[in-house]
Amino acid sequence: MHSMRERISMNREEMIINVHLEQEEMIDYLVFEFDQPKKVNLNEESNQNQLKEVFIDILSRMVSNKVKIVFVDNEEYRVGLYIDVCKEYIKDLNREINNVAKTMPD
Amino acid sequence: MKIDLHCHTKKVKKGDAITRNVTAEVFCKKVIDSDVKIVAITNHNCFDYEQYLQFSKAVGEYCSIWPGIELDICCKKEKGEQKRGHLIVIANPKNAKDFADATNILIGEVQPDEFIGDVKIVYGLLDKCDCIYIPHYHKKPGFSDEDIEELSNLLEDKSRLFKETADYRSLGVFSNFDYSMMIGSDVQDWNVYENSTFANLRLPIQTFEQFCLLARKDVQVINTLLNQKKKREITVSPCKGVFFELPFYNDINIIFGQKGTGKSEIINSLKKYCVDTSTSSSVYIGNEKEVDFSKLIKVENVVVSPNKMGLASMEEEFQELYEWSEELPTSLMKYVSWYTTKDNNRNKGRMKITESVHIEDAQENERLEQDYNTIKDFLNSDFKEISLEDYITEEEKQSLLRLIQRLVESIGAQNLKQWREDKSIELTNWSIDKIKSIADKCSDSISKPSSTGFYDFARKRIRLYKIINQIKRALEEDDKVEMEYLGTIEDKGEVYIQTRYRMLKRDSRTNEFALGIKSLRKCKESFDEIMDKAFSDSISAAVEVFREHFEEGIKDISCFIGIVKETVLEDGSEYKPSNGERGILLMQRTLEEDSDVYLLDEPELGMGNSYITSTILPKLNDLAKQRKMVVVATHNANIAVGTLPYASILRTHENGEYSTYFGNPFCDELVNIEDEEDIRNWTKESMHTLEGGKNAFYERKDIYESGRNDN
Repeated sequence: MHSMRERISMNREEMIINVHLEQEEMIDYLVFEFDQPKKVNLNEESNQNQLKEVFIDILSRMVSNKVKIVFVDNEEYRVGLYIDVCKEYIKDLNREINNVAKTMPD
Repeated sequence: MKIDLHCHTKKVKKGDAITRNVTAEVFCKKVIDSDVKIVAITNHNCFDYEQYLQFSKAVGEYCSIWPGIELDICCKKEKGEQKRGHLIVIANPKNAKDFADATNILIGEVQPDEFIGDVKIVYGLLDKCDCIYIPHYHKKPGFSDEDIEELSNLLEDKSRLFKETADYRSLGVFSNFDYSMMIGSDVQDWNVYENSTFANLRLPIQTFEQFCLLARKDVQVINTLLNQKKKREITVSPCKGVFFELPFYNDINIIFGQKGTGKSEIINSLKKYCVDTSTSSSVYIGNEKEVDFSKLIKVENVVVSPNKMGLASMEEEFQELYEWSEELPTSLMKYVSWYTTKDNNRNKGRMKITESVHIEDAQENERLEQDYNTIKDFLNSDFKEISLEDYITEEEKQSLLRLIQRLVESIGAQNLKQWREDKSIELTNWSIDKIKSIADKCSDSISKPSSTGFYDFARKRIRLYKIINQIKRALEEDDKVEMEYLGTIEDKGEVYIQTRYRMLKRDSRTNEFALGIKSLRKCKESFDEIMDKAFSDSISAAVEVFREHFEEGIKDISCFIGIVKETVLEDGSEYKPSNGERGILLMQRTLEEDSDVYLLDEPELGMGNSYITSTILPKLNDLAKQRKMVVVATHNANIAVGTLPYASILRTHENGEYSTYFGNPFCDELVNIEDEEDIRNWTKESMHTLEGGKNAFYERKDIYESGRNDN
């Protein structure tokens, strides 16, 4: 027998948000493919504000959907360091997203 | 004042003691020595008019002698046997001769030992002499309750009927049950007359008429242990620098006199006396009724408490909202730094903890915390004061206590488990960060960030959302209404003071709130803004707006509770009483309060005489019967005269001098408190001050009586 929270959770549709890496004018970006794509500058020390906007978008979608971030390879992007880092980052992010989902208000 | 309404002066019947015979001289001496002021001569089946005149002359001004007779009356049969009872009949001394003639007709030629009268015949012959009647009651030979009822039914004025008991103790008992009682000496031996039991009148009187007036006012005319009319000597001040003592009875006390003679100031003195002596009092000031009524519906005196609306104060939530701050995500550069340095040190590479992430908190169980607090409050509540064994068996009591203990332990255990989990996680995460920090320093490398920051970021936003949700739900709470009975207005019904507690609404008014309504509305708007932006970028600006309102003083939900106080009818519809009706309602409220002292200053202002006589007078008389001290300063004759006050205080201002006179309608005198020789007539002064003078009074009487007879 599922709890109310579990039933609500089960009834939420899963929303996949793809992310990929790209380079533009020598700057590496992690791109979250929302309706309006959001780019996070990997070369900037303080990319937190950009990440904050991403988090806001993820959180607002979590109200009515189960959200999963999927890293998608970009054949044109070859910087191995950032590829490895971002894969690891997305893994951690998904884990935290799942934990937050358990505490979402009804 | 001692009286003796059952006094024998001659041996008449065979059974009478010879020592009942007394001469005028001895009678006079004995009466004076005993300090008796009224004596009714009531010999058995005989009224000796000559002796009555002789004895009246002997005592002169010292004592009043009333003509009377003690008759054998035929009573209802008891167990088939004819019974007889004794009935004392006393006439107005003005009619002594008529009384003598009537008793002669009644007794006729029958010998006293053989006479037995019929109560109807006795009444028919003697009542025209203006009589009072005192049957023996629980005193042999006595009247039964049926006999007394038969006699009572004959009397137009029931206050003329008293009952005589055998002793003072029985009299006290019957008095306590509101029987109208009397006792007399029933003297057997004049040698020891002074040892007889005498009745003590509550007030001194001079005439038969005054005695009957006193009987009309109070069922009890004589003092008993429990029914004494007590009085207090109280210092009053009618103007600055002037003080004197006046006696005030636990009955109605009237202060009257022309305007400007200090009547209101005397009332104020009594108010102060009550405060100084911690005596409970209720006060009504006629010319302050508007102000006093307005005070009743003032909201400033009402304490605003969220409890009234079944809400918690939400102080903690407001504080949490004030202190809220955004959690920033972990910069991606930190992940890059970790990745680029992770192979710098092989040993560090083997410390896998340097790559671990924070454990997220266990899911918050708000219900568990609530239940834990509830059980804690319960155990500290008055529950432990209950003597359970008074209501349930010992077995049930032990079972209940065991179950409660089991519940406490279970909730406590779960709460402890939750706490351990929370603390463990907290400690673990701290340990991870600490180890990483040390490892980084020792290896000149950067460990993997413990978190992307999303969990903390989201948790904060969600917490903000929950707080705002709670506050907004509280702001939507339904109105709560309290009704307090105020009084009753003829044709309108019951009137209540309705206090409505309601959250800030579109139609709320400024005077409902302690804080400015504009500020409150803006703060409420900020809550809506915060809720809209809970998952948006501009949340911080929205919270900052709230912070400004918090610093202005909006720190909990009670600020938003508006109070509306108004007068309503029973159906809840608003009703604004007129000026006169306000006085009526205030007066009712004052007189319904349970106090020892009631002080009324010109209660007649704005009230019709019809209301005064139909409602106020009965209530005042009722308070007097309850032995409350009622003091009324008035210009109204209905109140000043109609209440038959125990004390009448007249204030005068003549030839530049103020004087105070004290008396009552029963003795018909008002004596100057500073000069015992200066005596005024109560009737004359009342007529002059309250009725506009004797002529005006009788002119009005003639006008009324000149109308139709059926008026």
